[in-house]
Parts: sequence; structure tokens; C-alpha cells
Amino acid sequence: MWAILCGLEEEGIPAELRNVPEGPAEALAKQAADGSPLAVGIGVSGIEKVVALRLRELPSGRPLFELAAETCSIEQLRRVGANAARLVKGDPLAHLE
Amino acid sequence: MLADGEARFVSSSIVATTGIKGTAGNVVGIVDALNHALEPLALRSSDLRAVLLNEATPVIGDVAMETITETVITESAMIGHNPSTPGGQGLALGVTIRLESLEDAPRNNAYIVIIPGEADFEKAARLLNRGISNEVRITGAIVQKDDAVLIHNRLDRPMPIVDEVEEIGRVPVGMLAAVEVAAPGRSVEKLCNPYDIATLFALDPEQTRQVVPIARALTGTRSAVVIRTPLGDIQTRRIPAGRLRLIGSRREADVRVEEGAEAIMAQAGKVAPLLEIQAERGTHVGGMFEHVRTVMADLTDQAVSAIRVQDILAVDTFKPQRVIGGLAGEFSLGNAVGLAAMVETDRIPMRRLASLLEEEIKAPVLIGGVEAEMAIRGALTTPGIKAPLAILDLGGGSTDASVINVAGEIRSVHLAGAGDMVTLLIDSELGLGDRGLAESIKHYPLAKVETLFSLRHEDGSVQFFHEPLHPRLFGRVVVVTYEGLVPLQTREPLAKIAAVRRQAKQKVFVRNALRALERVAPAGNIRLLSSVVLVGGSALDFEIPRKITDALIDYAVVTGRANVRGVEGPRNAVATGLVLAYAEAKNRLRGGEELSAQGRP
Repeated sequence: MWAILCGLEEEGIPAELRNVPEGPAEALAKQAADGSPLAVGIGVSGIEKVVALRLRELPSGRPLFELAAETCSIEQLRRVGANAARLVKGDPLAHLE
Repeated sequence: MLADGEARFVSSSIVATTGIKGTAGNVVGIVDALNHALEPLALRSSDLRAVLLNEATPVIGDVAMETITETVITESAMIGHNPSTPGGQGLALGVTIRLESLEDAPRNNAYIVIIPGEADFEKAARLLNRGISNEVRITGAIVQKDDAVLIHNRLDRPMPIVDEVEEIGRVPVGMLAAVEVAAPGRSVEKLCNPYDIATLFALDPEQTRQVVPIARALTGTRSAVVIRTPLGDIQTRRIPAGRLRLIGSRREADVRVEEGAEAIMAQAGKVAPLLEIQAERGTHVGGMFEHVRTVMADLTDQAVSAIRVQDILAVDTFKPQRVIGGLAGEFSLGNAVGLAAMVETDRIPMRRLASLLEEEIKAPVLIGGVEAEMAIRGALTTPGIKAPLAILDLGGGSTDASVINVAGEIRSVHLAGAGDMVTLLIDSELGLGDRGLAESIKHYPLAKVETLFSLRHEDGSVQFFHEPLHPRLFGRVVVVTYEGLVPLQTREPLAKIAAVRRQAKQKVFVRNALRALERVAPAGNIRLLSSVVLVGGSALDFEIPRKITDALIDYAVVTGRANVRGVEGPRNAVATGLVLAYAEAKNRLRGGEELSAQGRP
């Protein structure tokens, strides 16, 4: 979680962290995006251990990125945060592989 | 195409040439084109009375690039890579010091702290804050990872921080340094000015002169670092790139490639008319010359030594390259010279190709006429033109011009430099390292992906998509090809990429259009031409015909894309010419009815 926030902070986009009832990462991401004035949300699911990143306008069930939190590196998590910021800024996204 | 007394065109087709024009490799393509043309008529090639081929006058053209300058930073004197998220703002002066040495730093200096990747940003911020509270004067920082903002947000005092410095281990320690970060959207003001650098480092006039290249290299960047190393410097060095020997009918001249394209073309002009050009072995250009001569030697069954390069086009261009000695992977635009060379031959024996084709399609194959003549005959079927008529054939390897005067006499010329050279220039100036991608940029317009559902085309119009675009396209400049959107990795804005594309076309085709027309126009005067028609692949380009038309306006010549038989556009000129010539002379052939001809790409 913290690595994601660092990625956002370095790119200079404000973020707010909220704890909500558990659910699939995609649904959490949609909830976050719906509630975000910048229309971008990230959902982290403790149960599935998955991270999802989405834009408010994307059709349901289709997050932009989805990562298995267990197997991805700090670098990748940070890049998810950076990409969320870049979606807001309109800048090209960083690779996740 | 059927003829009953006169020629009536009923079908045509076109395929890409297979193999070099005039060789056995063409058979595959010819058969393909024939089948395409005959299919709607429900005929087979064996039903044909004759197939006509033109006498091929193949021209072998090729291109090569020589880089003639390189940039070197000596003694790690500066950092100018312009990372996207530096920290803080302002100008800082201090002695460089490693993060771990901060505790015992003498208190009488100001310091710029060097922070390696091993130190995570929280620890770095903590150590800096501790230093500040212990009255160590810390004025700025240089960071290896992309952490400048993260560190700066945790500091007790604001200060300029430059990050993403790959080679942090090579930053000189214990040297006076200046760090400057400008506000978002702006660029540095002090470190790009030699007199401000002189002020900061107390330089005398001689030393100030020496920092001029550093100041220039840092102009326009949002962040910069200058380090006062004794022999530190940034230099642009010339790279020896070999010589060309230009041999004219009366004079000869030698010119070094590193003198640049203008010098090369000026010398070529002085020794004109050129008989031959030779290039020094062991250079890129020398290798390219060897290549075109070898291909032509094989084609005509001659020794390579008998083949001469007859024309060149040199164009000044740029090539982004890594700065040698850079601390952060900096790039600079090195000067380069793009060179196109051309070898031609009068005609090659077509008999072999004709027999192979005959065997393949079971129909008689006849050699119908010389290419330039057939092309002009075909072009003359374009509505609205008359002699003296010039055709400009804008191909891949060469730019060709032929002229027919009112008396029906034909002259032609082949020049080096065409579509392939345009591609080379685009590839080089954008640092793509990908000819296929450069070709796409040449052919298709650009767009910028602004949201996941929309992009803005070059012309300003916006296009929306029902389905979200792929994330790898987001925020990028893309090439709008027929097969889909191709993202570009470069950081350059769309306007810059489009400008490179347009200038490449201008530097090659407009220049060569004028060069070629001057060589074949009556009395070398383009004004004496009545019409100019453009044929060939690049005549279909979305920008090139307009550029050539614009350049020829001053000569009061009507210029435009050919429209062979009023339906084919700039294609099929030679094939049409062959059929017309044949129909005219058809008395000499046995009651010739059905004819067909090879589509010429």
C-alpha cells in the first residue's frame, strides 16, 4: 500500500487512503474511482491479494491494471501509483512487467 | 486489355515488385499481377496472345549515414538530463558531500548532498533533517533514484533536488557545485548563463569562456547541476568520417564527409557534370558504395571495378546520441550527414526474364520498348497535359525525370535520393533505430492520445472510441496507420515529430525535383516546361506532391499527380505506354487482339 502511495507522491498527485469493507479488488477500485474527484481509483484487496487500477469511465470488470500483490515487487507497486498519477496528468504510462 | 483495331483497356492490376527490376526474381510478381488482372475477365494467362515487357533500366540506389560530431563531458562537470519530477525550487551552491559523511562535516561550508540508491528516501530525509538541526548548512541534493519529491516533502527546509542520476558514484566529491531547479513549466535561469556561472564560482574571463558550452547545453532544461572540476568541460568533437572523391569530366575534387552536406554538394556542383564518385573504404558510406556497385555488377554480369557510382545526394541531419561521460544518460543531437548514392545502367538483356516468364505462363512474351519512353506515353494519357512534358518519378531508391519535347524527343536522368532517404532521415533524427517505424511515420499522419477514449489528430480534430484504448497508447503520440495505432516511445511532442517528417521530405524530394528537372528541361530552364506530372509511390504521399507543386509555382509550371487514362492516378504509366505503343505498331504482329502488360509499381 505504502509503495503505491510513494509512486503517487513522487508524481505530485494527491491521494486519499480509505479502509472499506472487503471485496474484490476490481470492485474496490471502481468504488474508489467513483468517489474520486480525479476519477481514478486503486483497489487493494487483502483477501485476493490483488491490486487493481481503474478510471471511472471504464466498463465494469475491466480494470486497467491488475497485479497479484504477493508476487509483485515494490518497484511494480510504486509504478502502479505512478501510473495512476499519470492517468490524471495525461502522461504516458510506465511498464509494469 | 483488349484490342480490336485500337487499344481498349478492360483490366489492370498492380503488385509490389519482386526482386530487382529486370531479373528472374520478377517472374513471381508478374504472374501475380497477371492473375489479378485476368480474374475479372475469367481468362487465364495461356489465353493471351502476347505479354509485353519494357526494357528495364534498373537503377540501384542506397543510403547511409555518417555521424560527424559527438559530445563529451569531461571530469563530470555537469548534469543536464532533465528528469521529469525534480524536488523543490531555486538555486543552491555548496560543496558536494556523501550522505554518510554528513555527520562529521565541517560546519564552515555549505553542502550539496549526494544520495545513492541504497538510501531509501525516508532515511535520506531523516539524515538531512538531522544535519540541518545540527547546523550543517545543506543547500541542495543530488539523488540517484526517482525520489526527489518524496525526499523534499519530508524536509524541514525547502531546497532544490535533482534526481534520476544513474551514475551517482561518479559525481565528484568535495567539489564546489551549483544545483538549480525551476518552477513547473519553466527552465533554469542561472546555470544556462555563463556570467551567472562565473558569479557563482568566481571565475575569471578565461574560465568563463570555457563554461560557455556547459551553459548552452543546460539551456531549456527545468533542472541542472554544474560541478567545478578543474578540467571539467563539455565538448563537441568532430569525428573523422572519410573522404569522397568527386570526378567530373574536366575537374576532380576531394571532400571530407565531416565538412557537411552543403560542402559536399557545393563541391559536386563545381566539378559537374559528374562522371563518378568514389568513397573511402572502411566507412559507412564506403560500405554503401561497395554494396550498390556489387548489386549492379551481379545484375549486369560485370566486374565490380567496372561499375561507377554516378550521383549522390548529401543532406545535413542529426542523430541523437548518448553524451560520453554523462552522469545521467544524457542525450545530445550529434551532427550527421545522410548520403544517397546511385548506380544506373543503360539497359539489361531482358531475354532471360522473357523466356522464364513464357515458360511460366504459356503465352508469348515480347520486349515492348524502353522504360522512359513507355512511361511518358502512359503519362500523356493524363487529361489536361501537353508537351513539353516532364515526368518526375518519385521512387524508393532514386528520383527520375524524363522529358518529351514538342518534336517527340525524350531525355531522362536518374538521381540519387528518394523515398528510402526520407525514411533514413526520419529514423535518424528521431533516434528510432527502426526503419519500419520510420516508414510508417513517413506515410501516415500522427495523433496524440489524450484520454483512454479519445485522441486528437494532427489537424486538431478529435476522434472518440467506444472501446477504451490500450494503456500502452495512453498519453502517447501515435502513428495512425491503416492497420491500427502505433505508439511512439519518444518524448518529443507531436509538432516536433511532424516537423521532422516534413523537413525530410523537403530536403530530399523538393531538392531532387528541382535538380532533376533542371537536367532535362529544354535549355536547362524549368520555365520552358508546360506540364510536370508526378508518378511513382511517393507521388501518392499525403504531403510530397504539394511540396513539389509549391516549389515549382515560381517556374509557372502546371504540376500534379498523373492520372493515367483518367483512372489510374500516378500508377500504370509504363504498362499503359506499352499497350499503346504495341497497338500503334500492331500491323507488324500477327492480327494482335488480346494484349496484356505487366503492372509497374
